[in-house]
Amino acid sequence: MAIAPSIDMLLEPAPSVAEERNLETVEMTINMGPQHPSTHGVFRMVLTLEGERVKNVQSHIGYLHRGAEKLGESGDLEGYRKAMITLDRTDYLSSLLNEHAYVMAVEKLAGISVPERAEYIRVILGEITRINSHCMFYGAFGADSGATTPFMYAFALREEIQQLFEAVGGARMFPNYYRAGGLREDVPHDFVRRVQTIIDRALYAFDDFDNLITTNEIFLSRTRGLGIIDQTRALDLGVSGPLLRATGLPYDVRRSEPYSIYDRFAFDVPVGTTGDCYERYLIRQEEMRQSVRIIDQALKDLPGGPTMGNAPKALRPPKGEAYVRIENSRGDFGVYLVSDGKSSAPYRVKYRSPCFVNLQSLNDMVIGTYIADAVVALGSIDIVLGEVDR
Amino acid sequence: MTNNAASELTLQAVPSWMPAFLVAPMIGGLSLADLIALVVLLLFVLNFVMIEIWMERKVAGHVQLRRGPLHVGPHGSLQSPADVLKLLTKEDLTPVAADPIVFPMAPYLVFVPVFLTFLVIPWGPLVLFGNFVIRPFDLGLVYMVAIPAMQGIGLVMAGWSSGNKYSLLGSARVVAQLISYELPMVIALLGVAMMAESLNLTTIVESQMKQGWNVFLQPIGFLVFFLATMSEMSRAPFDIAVAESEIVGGPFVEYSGMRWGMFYLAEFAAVCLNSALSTALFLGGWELFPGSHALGLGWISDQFGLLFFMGKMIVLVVIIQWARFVLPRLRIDQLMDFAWKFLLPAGFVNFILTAILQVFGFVPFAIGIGLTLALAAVLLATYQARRSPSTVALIRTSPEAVPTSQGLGLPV
Amino acid sequence: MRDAKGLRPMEGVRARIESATSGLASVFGTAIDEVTVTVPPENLPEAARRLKETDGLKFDYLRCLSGVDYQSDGIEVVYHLFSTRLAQKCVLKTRLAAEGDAVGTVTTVWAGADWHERETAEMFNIRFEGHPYPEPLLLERDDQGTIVPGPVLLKRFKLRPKEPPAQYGFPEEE
Repeated sequence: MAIAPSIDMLLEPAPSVAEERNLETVEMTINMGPQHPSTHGVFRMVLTLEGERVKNVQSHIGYLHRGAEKLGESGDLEGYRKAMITLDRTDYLSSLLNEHAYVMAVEKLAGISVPERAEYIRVILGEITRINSHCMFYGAFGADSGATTPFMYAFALREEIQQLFEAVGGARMFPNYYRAGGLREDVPHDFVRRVQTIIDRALYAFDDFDNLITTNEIFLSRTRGLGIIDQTRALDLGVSGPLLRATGLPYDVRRSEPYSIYDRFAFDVPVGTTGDCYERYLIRQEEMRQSVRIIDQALKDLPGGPTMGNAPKALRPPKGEAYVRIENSRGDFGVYLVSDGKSSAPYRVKYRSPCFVNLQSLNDMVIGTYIADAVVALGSIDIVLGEVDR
Repeated sequence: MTNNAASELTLQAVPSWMPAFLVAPMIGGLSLADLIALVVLLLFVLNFVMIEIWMERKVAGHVQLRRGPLHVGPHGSLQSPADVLKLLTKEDLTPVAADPIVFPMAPYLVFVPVFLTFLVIPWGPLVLFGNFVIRPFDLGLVYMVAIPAMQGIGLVMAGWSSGNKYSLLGSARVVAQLISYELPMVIALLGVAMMAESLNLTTIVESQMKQGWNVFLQPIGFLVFFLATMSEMSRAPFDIAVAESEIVGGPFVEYSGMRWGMFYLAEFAAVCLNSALSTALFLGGWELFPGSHALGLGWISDQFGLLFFMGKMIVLVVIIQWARFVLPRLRIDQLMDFAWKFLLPAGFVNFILTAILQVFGFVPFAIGIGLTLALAAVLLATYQARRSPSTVALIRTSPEAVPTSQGLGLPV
Repeated sequence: MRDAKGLRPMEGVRARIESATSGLASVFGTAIDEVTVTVPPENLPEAARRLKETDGLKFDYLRCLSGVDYQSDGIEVVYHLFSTRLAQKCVLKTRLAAEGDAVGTVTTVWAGADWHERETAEMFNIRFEGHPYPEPLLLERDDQGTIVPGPVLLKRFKLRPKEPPAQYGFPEEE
């Protein structure tokens, strides 16, 4: 924009107030550009505003497209393992959950069985990742509504979790820890103690989180009644995760189509009623507590034994395809894997990322609200641009 | 009423030991003592702002489970001078689309009114110096409301001349906010003026020493004034105009270097100013504790009143800073609702109660307070019922309870 | 009526789909634990509509829409479907002859196919007819209007190999 706003723009409302109270306003197009403190990554929203109300929203994505799927096909030797490296970096907040999906797809195609210990450890690490991701959501959502403190509280807890990831997988963010058939290596000897410390600390932290903003008057008035999607519309759009559960449909992949060993654990699935931002926030807070419950049960029953199944050294699954879906922290994450039986890399790997589909509901949520509400509604979808763009 | 023309009294009670050449009026009616006092005030404001910035970062740190600046100087105390030095050495960018005359002018129009209002604050006596007040205007309250209102023009100029849609949005929000919150502020001050029967700030403080602090006599007025001034300064939770997470700085987004520093300086100086005014008008100014004059301990505040004033002011500053980091931000329409539908009626209630006290005496006033409390309790009860968070239904698969830090047998 | 994973068994699903999509030249198969239905491209929107609306099927949730490039065998568009009410899943497929071909859109059936179709169209250089806004989603257009860098997920699109540097180490000072 190279020209200064002209004075006519502000004097536009025609002086015909005497006749009919039909005030005309001027539309302004504002670009919440790729670089912005609250678009959660490189996401561009072009808002057409009338005063402070949003008339139209156009989303532009693709700024973080790095070709994860194409790179997944182009590995040479050990292509099936290398595809996971770019997968880690798509949804960087729930990388271990996504790895679980991919690794299950390869195991389904190749018919590899996984030992018990590996399954338990995968569940524990997956639920810890879910807590990690929801903490980040808590911090970012608080920042979107204007409170700067939730961010710090959330990151204090995340710091411990990421130190655990470093001890287990070698890196704080992209551990690249699962393999087809089990884990890359066994966990460190103090794993159980560390996880127990984390979940003990986490319960106090969750109470702290709640004391800070959950019943805060200002937070309630900012988020309640905002961003409501109808349940049929949500299903039509393919929305999943806390957004779908907030509308009242109790669809959680861990519960409706249990994978891995989730059918052995007792946990509740929080479901809302109206579908607004506040309920999504509450659902995620509750999911964190339910994750702690799952981890608690898994830690008690953690068996010994090997952590790697009967996966061949050179992995070439037979010709076929497999589609595996798990419950990511953002919704229903799917991996569609096609193998041609000959090459050592996947023939086609497609990641069905929940944020990509959930983001289509932005127009429904935002049109007609204030610009400040647009930011909060976008925050409640909890997008991770790496996953949207792959 | 004495006519306080500049050619007459300079300090409230000129100490007898001051030589004549200091107090004789010279240039434009100002004496040398006047000029020295102005310079001291400016230096005090600038330095206090630096200390205040450090305090804010420390308060922020401790609220957010960390400790704030630690490395630059002992406990990070040299962090503020370092930041000021950085701002001074930054390049002053002016966007191409910005208006060349209005754009540089705006920061000064925001800072100067704040500084001008410092002239009427009665700081309190300190041993040999007598009472520190640079200009004890008889219309002090009017001055104190009128002059900071000029900030609004400065902010609109800043937002407008930046040539940026975000700034325009921000300045539109700021204008609406400032205008809306002027009214509750003035209504709250009416009660104060009625209690002291004067508009002179020093007289108001002295009357509080006789009658009791205004914060106890009109608590609603104090609340209304405190919140209204927090909003006038665009402090959180009323900082929608400079909302960082949405319009990234509002009217200030195109300013860099020391021009931005002037806005920042103006905001912190305003925090200091409004805390000082709240102390003087509601918290008994430089009195040690309520009723100390009646108990015969007035001589302590007559000697060291300045220190007690500063102490109370710093407490209020910390409270304002604390509120920033704990609360989310109000949306613009919620902010306006708060001003017009809550603060203004509360200010009127306070006004009526104070009038009852002045005219009819204490007993009807107590009855009035009782009725107000009853009304507030009823409103609060209905409000609580309306705002309880919606229960998130859980699909139960087992009778085990949801774990909390108490439920798992951990020490509370 | 549910298998170990909580879903209705495959044989029943297959029978119901067979009866619902009669006359659409559908070919059936299995993909480990899912029923696959392959229809020719011209019958695809009709098949999608029937799968969503028929009483025993009610596939109201489009999980995933992807394309697979089988080079000389054509480009396959794969729709993974799920029914939230009846707890069953299936896969709908169609095979396009080559790149540049078109198939009807399913955005009238499932609104969520919008972005999926935009992405598949730009990545495989195919078209979805009737799409409300057929613009590239992740890639962008250059000044002439062509999509850069091109249909990335086709097998003929080679990723640029990295050449080793001509000289290792620091260049010598002249």
